[in-house]
Amino acid sequence: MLSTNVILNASKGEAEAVEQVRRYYSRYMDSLARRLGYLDVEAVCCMEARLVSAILRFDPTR
Amino acid sequence: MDEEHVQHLFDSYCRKVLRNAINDYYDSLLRRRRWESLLTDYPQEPSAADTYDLGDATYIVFGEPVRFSDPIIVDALNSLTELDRTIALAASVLGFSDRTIADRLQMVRRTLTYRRSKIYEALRCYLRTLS
Repeated sequence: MLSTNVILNASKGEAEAVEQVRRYYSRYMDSLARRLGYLDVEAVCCMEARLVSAILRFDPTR
Repeated sequence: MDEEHVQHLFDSYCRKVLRNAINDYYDSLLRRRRWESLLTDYPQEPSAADTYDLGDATYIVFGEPVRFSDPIIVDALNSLTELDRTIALAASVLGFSDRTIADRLQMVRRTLTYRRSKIYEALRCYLRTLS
């Protein structure tokens, strides 16, 4: 699992931490995108964009 | 708040976001498929056929593009001066009357009619020699 430091840094917008989170979830994204029977690259791009904006909105105190 | 709780919170948050994202993506695909169809599904439609402008020529006549793909016609039209070509295409392709063409080119109508008949004659001669 991702360390809390990485999570907090990513939520502050630190590029390296965000990239680490993206890499961590890349396999999960691929498995979701394979639902149609093949790896849909456009679907992965959509998810990556949504993930990054969600990371920046993450607030652990809420 | 302990670290493990934050990690689990973040993990479930990210997975939920990704699931929502993929569901939205597939919904948009289904919505698009309901309203749109691919040109490849209609290979017989002329609008679906690929066209290539190898040797084609497009002339702008009074702001309107006029395109020819027959190389003989293109050769014949290229043998004319630009003004003559404009007159010939405006009359024969765009269907403009002599009066309209004369007004646009600021010429006398009878001069234009005479010139147009000469142009047609020249084109006929050119095409006859080619064939």
